Amino acid sequence: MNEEIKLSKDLLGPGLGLIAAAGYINNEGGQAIADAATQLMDEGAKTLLIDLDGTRIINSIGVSILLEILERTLDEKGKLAFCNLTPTISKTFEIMGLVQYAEVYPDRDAALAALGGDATT
Amino acid sequence: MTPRLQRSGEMPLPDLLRLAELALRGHANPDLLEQLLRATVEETGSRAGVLRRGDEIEARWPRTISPQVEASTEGWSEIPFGADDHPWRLRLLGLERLDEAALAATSLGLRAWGLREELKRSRFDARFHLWELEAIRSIATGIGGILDTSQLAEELINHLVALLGVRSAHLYLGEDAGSAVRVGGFGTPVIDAEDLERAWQHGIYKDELVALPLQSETGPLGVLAAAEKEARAGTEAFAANDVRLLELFAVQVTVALEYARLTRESLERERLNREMEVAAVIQSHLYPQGFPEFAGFRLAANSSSSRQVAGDTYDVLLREGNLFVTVTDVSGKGVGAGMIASGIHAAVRLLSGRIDKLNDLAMRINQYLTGATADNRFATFGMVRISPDGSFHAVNSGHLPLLIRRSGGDVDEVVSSGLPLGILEDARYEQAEGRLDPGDHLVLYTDGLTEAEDPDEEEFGVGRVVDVLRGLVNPTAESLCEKLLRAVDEHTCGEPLQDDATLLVVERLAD
Repeated sequence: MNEEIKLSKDLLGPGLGLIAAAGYINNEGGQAIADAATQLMDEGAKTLLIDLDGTRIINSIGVSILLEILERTLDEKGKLAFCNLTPTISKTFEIMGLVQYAEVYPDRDAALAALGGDATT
Repeated sequence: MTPRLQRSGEMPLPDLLRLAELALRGHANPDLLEQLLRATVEETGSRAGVLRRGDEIEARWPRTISPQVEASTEGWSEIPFGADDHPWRLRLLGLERLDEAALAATSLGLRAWGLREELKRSRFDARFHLWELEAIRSIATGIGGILDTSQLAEELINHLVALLGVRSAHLYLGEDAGSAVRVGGFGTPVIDAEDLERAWQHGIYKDELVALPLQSETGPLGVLAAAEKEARAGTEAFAANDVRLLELFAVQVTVALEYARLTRESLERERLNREMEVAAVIQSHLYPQGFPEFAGFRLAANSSSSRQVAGDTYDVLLREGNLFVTVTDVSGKGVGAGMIASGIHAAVRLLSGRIDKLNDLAMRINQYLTGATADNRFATFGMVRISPDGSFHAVNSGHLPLLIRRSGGDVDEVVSSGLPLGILEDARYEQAEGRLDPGDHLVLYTDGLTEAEDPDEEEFGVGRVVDVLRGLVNPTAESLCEKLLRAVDEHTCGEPLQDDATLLVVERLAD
């Protein structure tokens, strides 16, 4: 089982950026997400939705990078949201303090409906 | 040489505020230090700057400072500041103006930044310990119920990879290192057969690889290996805490594997018990549910099994106006013996009345049985056909003597005329003839009775059976059964029989 990260990003609408990440979120996977987040924020995204459909494992370095992304979005008065978390990752985010400040949705449709984006994008 | 701080006038308040604001900013932007340095370089009219913490360079501005310029001492001002636990050093090239207030603002900001980082790390570490505990709890409750080793391995490896932050983790299971196979893993396997052998024996503890044996009470069950521990950039050596965590995982998976093994064994036992119960029910229906009416005769029987399914069986049936009685004892016990006994039982029912001579009937069953049993089982067999007038024909195939107790107490025998059934395909048997007069008893039994041992391991024997029969006075079929079984019970001092035991008695009623 090898799970290299597969990543895509898109600016969905005014201020809303989507990052879809599938694979092992480790130092490399986490950094790829952080780079995508930086680019989207530079393009004007205040709210970031990270869709983790296809991600089963995240390690502590991956979590620390996501925490940094969370801090940056909060610092920019923005918002960070996640969707499609496995039960294990959801529990990990809860323990590591991510869900205290980030929003979590069961799937992308629910997230975009709440955040005001277009689910078909 | 450390150049002295050069001063060229006080820094304007807006510049100071800009520095302080940057230094105290709370976000986690990894460029913060670079921004701070850049502001300092610009506000002090310097050409370049380097910010160090201890021996580490935390920021350069501009980023393109050449190593030659950075290495030279000419034109650089080096300004140490910060508390002892935060030894910051600021190097500025071509410094024009910097005052104590600016340094204090920068120092305070950097100290606040450092404390925030430390606080974040502490919080992260505390939460990470909770994560560890949760993973251990999850493994204990989650994989504890998993019987499939592949699924168990996947659950374990997922937790292990996440918590240890490794790029490779694999679980090997087997009887020994040579036969162990990888049952699950993540990333590229990094141990070869030689490593596996070493890990199986003593474990491997290297900077880049830790492989631990899964130690059970009966010896190693397998090896849990993890490699390539990640750092923020690249990889780093495993720390003592990582090894401790991996050891904890190894214990957890060993317990889970032992639990899975015991559960599988328990389920298998239950399955076998259920099958035995079903087989016993089937076999019980093969015994006569009652004796057929045969005028002038009375029957009694007793059969006990040392297991749920017996290798003994008997039958009583009427064919063409004659009474057929049989007794069969298959070598061995349990389901296999019971199935063969049932097969003979069915053959007897099929052939009785169709074949005139009982020795021919025995030969036909023998031919059927020889080669039909995979494990060289055989069966002793006795059969008697009794006519209404008391005359009888009998065949004894390797069985104990069939006994005829005469009304006066004498005992005649129909001894074996050949090998047990199932040994030799062309075995031949003789048919014996005789007569049961009124008051006579025909006694068929198996070696479960004659081989019953007393505390000194002396068998009851055919001789004692004969003695008991001789000592009876006007017995009935029922009382003969009872007294013979009681004598066996007294012989064994009440201990249960070690083998299947069957007793069948036919009494010709006195006129």
